[in-house]
Amino acid sequence: MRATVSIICAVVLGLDGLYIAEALKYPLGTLSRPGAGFYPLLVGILIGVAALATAAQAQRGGVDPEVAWPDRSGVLRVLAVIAAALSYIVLLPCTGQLLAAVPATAVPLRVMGTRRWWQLAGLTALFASGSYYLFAVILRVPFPAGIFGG
Amino acid sequence: MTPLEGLAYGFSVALTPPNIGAALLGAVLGTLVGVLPGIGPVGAMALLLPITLQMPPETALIMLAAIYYGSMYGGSTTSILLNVPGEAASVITTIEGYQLARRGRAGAALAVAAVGSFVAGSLGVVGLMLFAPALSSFALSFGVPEFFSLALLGLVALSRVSGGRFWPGILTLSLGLAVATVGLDPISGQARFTFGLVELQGGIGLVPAVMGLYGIAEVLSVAEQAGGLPGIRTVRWRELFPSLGEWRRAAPAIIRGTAVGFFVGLIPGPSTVLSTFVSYNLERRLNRRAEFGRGAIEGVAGPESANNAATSGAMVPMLSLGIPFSPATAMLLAALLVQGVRPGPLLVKEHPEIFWGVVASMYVGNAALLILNLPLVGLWASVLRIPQAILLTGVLLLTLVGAYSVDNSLLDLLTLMGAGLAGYLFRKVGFDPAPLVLALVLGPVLENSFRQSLFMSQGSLLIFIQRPISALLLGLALLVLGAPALWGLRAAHKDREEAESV
Repeated sequence: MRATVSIICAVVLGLDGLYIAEALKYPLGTLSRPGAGFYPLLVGILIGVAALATAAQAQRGGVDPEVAWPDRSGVLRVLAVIAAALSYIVLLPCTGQLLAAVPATAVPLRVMGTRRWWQLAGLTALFASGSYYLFAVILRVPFPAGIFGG
Repeated sequence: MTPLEGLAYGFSVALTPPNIGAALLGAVLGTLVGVLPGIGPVGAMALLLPITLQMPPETALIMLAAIYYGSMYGGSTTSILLNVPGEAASVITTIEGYQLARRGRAGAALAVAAVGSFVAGSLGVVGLMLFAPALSSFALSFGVPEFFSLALLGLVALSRVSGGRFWPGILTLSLGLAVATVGLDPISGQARFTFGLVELQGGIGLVPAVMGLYGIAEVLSVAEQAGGLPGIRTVRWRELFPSLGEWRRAAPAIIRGTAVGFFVGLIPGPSTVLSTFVSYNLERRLNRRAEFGRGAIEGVAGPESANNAATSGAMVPMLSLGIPFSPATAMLLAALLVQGVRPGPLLVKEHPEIFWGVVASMYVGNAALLILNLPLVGLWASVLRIPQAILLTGVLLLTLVGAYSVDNSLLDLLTLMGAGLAGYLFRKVGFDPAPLVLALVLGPVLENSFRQSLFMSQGSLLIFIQRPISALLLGLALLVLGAPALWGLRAAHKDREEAESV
């Protein structure tokens, strides 16, 4: 856990450095007329202090002892769900809502335990069409038409 | 408008068919969310926020508020029947409720929890009716320094009081403040941290961020596991009636829990959770002859009443000051902000249909929840038999489509996934995302009020302590920050003295 928290804090510190560098490009103004960069600079300093203090606390053993990382099959399930969600983002502008929802539904169902193909097909069709009906038809959300017009 | 006149007006708003429908739908969804371990009321409110954009603001708030207090009812079901809390505010109920179930008194526990929740919810609404307008009138005298100090107190208190250590809480809070600076500077109009992207000029979407932190993170957390829930006890209708002795013991606990819950709800922090702990400890002190740990009915009645009353108490600062003190009320605030309504001291005067409509609808919602939760408890428990794969896939798809529907923006989907991965990582290392959520909501208030205060004072920071209310609020913030450390030092000093005297 100590190593994990320390790594996270190190990454946060790196990003914080970039954040502060960007904040310094904006006008800081004065105390009586603070500019656009004034408040972000203060926030950046706070992030740096908090990250260092959290890392120090972790090194002193002041955090919970164990991180419950998943086993191999758990990691694969998590990665599959992430990939399914990202596929929705990639496919939505190209294929439209109805078709983009298919892998975003089928993959999580499959990796989380739905084995029979007819159950998988039926549930995927139900979720994809149900979400389309709720959002596109009832709520009239304007989804991209995609190359198939759906 | 007197409170009674306001309430009468509120019923004229709440009893229209769309608003009754919204209250009932919210109550059902809230109960469902409370029954299902994991997603929680904040996640559910975030998931449904895009749908509320199609509704008038009062209808949206009625539905989301019903989800909030409805989840308190549902959470007790799994706590009592399965020893698994449906959501955080029902953790305490597992201690006594499950033991009562093991002794064959599950029905009595469920009935006491439901009736206690109803009584507390109804009395809590009376408190909301009386306190919020009064606080609004008082807050009209607040200036920007007071709002800065109040927002700071809320953020600091939540970081201190929410689960987890202090510095990780400050870290997540400051990350939220940083994310809130993305977009156009509200005072000068300068684009900040947009890197030339027009889409970022509106800032990072609050709704997709919260949906990711709670919804996607939950899906990923459960996806990595391969377990299921233990067997579900069945409860028959005739088993639902507690004995006269159980009612005699439960009734005072319900009243005490209501009072504790409402006042704890007023303070910053995870008030619904805190209220249950405070109530449970109070019942233990007052009922020394009861068998706590082995199924004391007071240990169900008090905490379950407290968490319901706390939802009403938590809504007082959000509606009257425009400052949410918890992630759930931050979602209610977000629902109004996306509709173009700014809660605050003028809300009761300028939008009485929203304030009084929500208050009146809570009476309707609480009555509906009592009916839904008592005779239909078997139905709610059976929801847990739905395979996790189906539930989680539904949540994932709803989250993705919902996030896109807020602004029809692919950037929101990227925000959703980024926040989801961050939320998953936070869970792994024990960082609470609640301070980050509150910082996203309060960050703009904090910055605006800070900079405007400096404009007013010509750069003098003394403005925050020269004004009495601001000074008091800052003093409270310092107390919240420093008190645990001082107690720790005092305890260490006392231990040293005892060791030396031996």
